[in-house]
Amino acid sequence: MNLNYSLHNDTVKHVDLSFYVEVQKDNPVDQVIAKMQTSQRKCALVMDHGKLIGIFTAHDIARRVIDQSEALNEPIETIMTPDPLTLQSDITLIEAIRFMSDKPHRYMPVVDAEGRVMGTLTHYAIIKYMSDHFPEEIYNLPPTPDHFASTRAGA
Amino acid sequence: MADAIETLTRKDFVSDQEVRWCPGCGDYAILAQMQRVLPEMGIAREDMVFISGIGCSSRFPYYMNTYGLHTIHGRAATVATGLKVANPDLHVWVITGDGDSLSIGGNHLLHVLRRNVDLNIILFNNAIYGLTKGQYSPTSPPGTRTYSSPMGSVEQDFNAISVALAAEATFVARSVDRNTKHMAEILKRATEHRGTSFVEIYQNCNIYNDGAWFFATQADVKDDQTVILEHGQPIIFGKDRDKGIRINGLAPEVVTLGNGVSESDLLAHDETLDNPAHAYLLSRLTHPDYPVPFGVFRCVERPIYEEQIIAQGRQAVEERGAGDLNALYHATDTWIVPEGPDAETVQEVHEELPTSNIIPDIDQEDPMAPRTALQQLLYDPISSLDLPAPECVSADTSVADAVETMRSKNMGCLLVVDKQGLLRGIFAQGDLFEKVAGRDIDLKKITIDSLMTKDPTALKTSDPIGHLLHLMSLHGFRHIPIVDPDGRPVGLASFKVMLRFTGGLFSDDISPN
Repeated sequence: MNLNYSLHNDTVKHVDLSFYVEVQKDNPVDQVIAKMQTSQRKCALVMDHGKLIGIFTAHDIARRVIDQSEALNEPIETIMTPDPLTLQSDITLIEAIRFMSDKPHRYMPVVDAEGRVMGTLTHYAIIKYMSDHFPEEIYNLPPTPDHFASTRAGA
Repeated sequence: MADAIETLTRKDFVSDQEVRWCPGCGDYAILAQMQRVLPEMGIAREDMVFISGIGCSSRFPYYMNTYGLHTIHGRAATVATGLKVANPDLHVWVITGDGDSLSIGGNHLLHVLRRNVDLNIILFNNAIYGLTKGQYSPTSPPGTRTYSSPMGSVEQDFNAISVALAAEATFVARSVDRNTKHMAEILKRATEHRGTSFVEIYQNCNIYNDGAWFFATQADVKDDQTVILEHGQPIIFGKDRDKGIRINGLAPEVVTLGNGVSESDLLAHDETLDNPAHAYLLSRLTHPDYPVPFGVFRCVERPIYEEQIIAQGRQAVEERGAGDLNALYHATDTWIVPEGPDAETVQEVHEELPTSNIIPDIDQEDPMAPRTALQQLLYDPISSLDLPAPECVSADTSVADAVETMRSKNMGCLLVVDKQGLLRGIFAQGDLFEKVAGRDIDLKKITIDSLMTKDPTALKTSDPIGHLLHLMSLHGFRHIPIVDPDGRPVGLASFKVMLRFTGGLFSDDISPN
């Protein structure tokens, strides 16, 4: 299997796009955070009648919410990042990687040709996709790099 | 105690023993998932025991920083049963292989399963005897050519899942070493099940049976040749999720969705059926005629062996009083053998093995050959990455100050160092998200000491980039501190650094192979 070939031929819909939750624009911020925490998802897509209107991430929490307790009761649409950049589901992974490594965004909503949300592309999912190409070299490693035996045991 | 359990991390389960599996062995992936899953299970380390028989997989207990027993060939299930009856509070895992449990210990496996002792059996199936250097095993298919079957094995192989179902197992599941996320889910389910959990894990032996499971793991074919079982869901598979399993009489058949075939025509999976026929039928989906199922085949409740045995013991004591073992022992014919002449003292002879036998590299590479992009991604030292300098603070920094530093420096995480500048912790946006967000905490009054990850996993600049990918993809670490040989931070690796490196590594001049 050739990672280079895969990166140039597989599209963003071939990686795991499930690392996000959907919330509604009038959900209060504390409820959104609780939903993200229980589902262990660091990205929330803010929807309005089925349409994507904003994004809210753990990064936003650390930068904008963490020391602003009065913000917790506000509806999420007041604090989200509106009109987020999206990726088309048919762009190749190498394009997505290059796009994302130039931008501060860790999470990018993926939409199909009609603009429907198909999921969210995350840095983690791309790393996992790459590692899946080399299970022997990456998954089958000892817990620390120097954990291999230096001497022979037995015959 | 409860606090101690909550704060366990992967590192707590890593022992200091040298790992003696061959480089690239699938056993490593199973070890990594076990060490990842256990901290989430809320079980104290001292309440866990790993018991193994003989074989490559049976070295597993050495590498877990828990109690462990490396017992005799095929008898791990027996030792585990005894231990569980004597101390039912322990969480007991049996680590075994296809030879250990299906040949040498076949009988013991059958009986632990039907008894339903509350323990977890993890069977590493690589369809070969690896430790003894490559003889065919009870799961090697007929025709397998090995050193002990040079013209091809003439033996019908065992289907481990079918065997477990026939032995009345209450929890039967299968996963594969290279689907790490799935394996983690299955290990969790097995741990939670009350009764004997039987988990078969397809594991690649890259020395003696390399590629035995590639049909189920290679990215380009696995979705068409395997199916993930989900309880309550129709059995659908394929890269485009357009194929399914339908029942025709008593036989399963592969159908394509569309043209009059809808999801409602497909067999729906139900792992809770009391009748094992459904699970057995699924176990007979084998390569290449059918997609091979992964997931939980069967999960039912039945009374637990040790609970009933212990209850009977209590009842007997209540009704008849505590027994006297000595009296019982001498109740019938006993005799004393008179002392004979002194036995000769046997001199044991120890032969020292040379300790300088370094295992040679398996891949002899030409050191002058130009490095391919792939070699760079997997084996180049971390020092070849363009790493940002870490932002270091002390552990008594207030969370409010830490938040402000992260903002102004635009960093996703801070490294925590002691007075000597040695790495002591890592404090990341993820910690704020998980432990602070939404809670009423005065950030000025607490220090990052209480929130940071203490003694984090760090790598050295000389370690290979592949190990960064290992930690990132298996354990989800977004930030990994890079330290000098003394343990002082010199850089900070992150998902983003890896993406940037990858984006620049691969040219647009591509060929399919």
